[in-house]
Amino acid sequence: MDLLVQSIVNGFIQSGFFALYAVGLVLIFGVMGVVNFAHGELVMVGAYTVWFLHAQHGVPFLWTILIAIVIVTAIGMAMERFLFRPKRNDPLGGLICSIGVLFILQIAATLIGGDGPSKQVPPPYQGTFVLFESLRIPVQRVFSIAVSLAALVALWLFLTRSKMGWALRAVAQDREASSLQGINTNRISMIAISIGAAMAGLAGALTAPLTNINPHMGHNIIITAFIVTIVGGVGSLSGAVLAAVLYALFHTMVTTYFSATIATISGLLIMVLVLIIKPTGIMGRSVSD
Amino acid sequence: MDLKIENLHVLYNHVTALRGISIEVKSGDFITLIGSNGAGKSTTLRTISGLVKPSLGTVTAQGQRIDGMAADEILKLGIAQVPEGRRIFKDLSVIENLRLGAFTRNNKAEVNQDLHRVFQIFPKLQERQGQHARTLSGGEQQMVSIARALMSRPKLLLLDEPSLGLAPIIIREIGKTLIDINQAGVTIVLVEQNADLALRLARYGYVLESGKIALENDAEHLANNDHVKKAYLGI
Repeated sequence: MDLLVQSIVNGFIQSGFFALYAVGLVLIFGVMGVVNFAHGELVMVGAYTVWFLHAQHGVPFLWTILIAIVIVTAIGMAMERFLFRPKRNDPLGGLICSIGVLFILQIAATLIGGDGPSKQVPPPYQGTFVLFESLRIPVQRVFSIAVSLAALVALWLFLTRSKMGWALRAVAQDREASSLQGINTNRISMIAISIGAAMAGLAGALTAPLTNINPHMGHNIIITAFIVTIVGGVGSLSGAVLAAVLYALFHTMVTTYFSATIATISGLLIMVLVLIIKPTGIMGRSVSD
Repeated sequence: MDLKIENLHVLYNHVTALRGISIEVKSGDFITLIGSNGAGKSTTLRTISGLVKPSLGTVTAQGQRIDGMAADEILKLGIAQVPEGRRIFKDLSVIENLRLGAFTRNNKAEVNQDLHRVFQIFPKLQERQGQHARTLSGGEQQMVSIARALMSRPKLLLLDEPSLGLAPIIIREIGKTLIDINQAGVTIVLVEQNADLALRLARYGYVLESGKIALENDAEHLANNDHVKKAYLGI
């Protein structure tokens, strides 16, 4: 029973990361029509930034979060300007370019950190909240879920309350009709990838003290992001967030009672089942309308 | 807004869609392009609004060359398009759709004033302003598309098949609205397969056939032309 409660709580904390991975992927796909295979590597770069600057060189943790966001956002903007924009009418070309970026970032990480054992970042926030005797939550995890939630709420407010946010949703629905309203769709694409990359950089920085950091950590992240995105309904941000919570709970449970490998395999099976039975996901709409 | 199209040629997906079209529209005029499916009517509008680039020929608005400009830049000159199939943002609310029509305008008071004005023209949209656009009927969606275009305060309004798929009573209503908009000083270029409607609304008409202008004249004369009667009015 205690284990159950503990893993539910852990699942909710995990869902913040899953949601951050997935909303970035959804925004980039929705607005630019590109599946960004390098998204997991953007998260990895965020984690490496914290490892390199904080764990290796003693820069304060909060500063390294900001620096990670700036670096990853810059990488995202460069991808849009030099790869995705020239390949705008060629989604397959954009996808292949993103796979190229994936390898480049993995190699860069290996060059900087070596290919030895995974790196660890000692949690900057020590201590544990003891809610009741058997339910303990490390302060570091509380911090990460709080920041993730704040970022998701800020994104939601931007998308629903600001003119730029409406324009972004409009471009995701109909690029051509948006340009007829005077919306510069290249500029909106730049904003979309900036937000998506910033969320990935933030997720990477927040996850750094809680995970093993290595050049290949993006692999599991992109799998998670795909599962969450497809189960939630491709193109639906609210679907992605809902699916992130559900999948994080599921994944944590299965990991706790069985193993992480079984959890990921089951997740992929669920994704395949959703694709076969309800390809539009839990919140998605069919492409035809 | 004066609009001049000279010797326009357009290749569309490697197929020649327009083969040398010349059209002249005076400020405040109401003209129509009629013709059958695939004659090049939509391509002409899409070239004016910047969605399609011509391979040859020029488009000039108020003396300024606009062919080759991006669609969002052309909108800023005062040219708005109501695209074929409405193309409203279905997952946004009606009010969000309308405010996006005014995306390039920064004077909030003026935008709110125009919002009030389009709600007077289309009272139903005011009732439904908070609803997702996808929940509206076809006629109401067409109203959103026209209202959205008006929110940019256009000097030239391009309409692509606004009557498509609508009930006759709604078509009449939209026709009246277009005349009101034109009388308020907005120049209109209307593309229609419904030639009967188009020739009743417009002052001057062009008949497009296989990417060329086959006939042009005052709308009244065109409506009495034997070829037009037989081919487009079904008389």
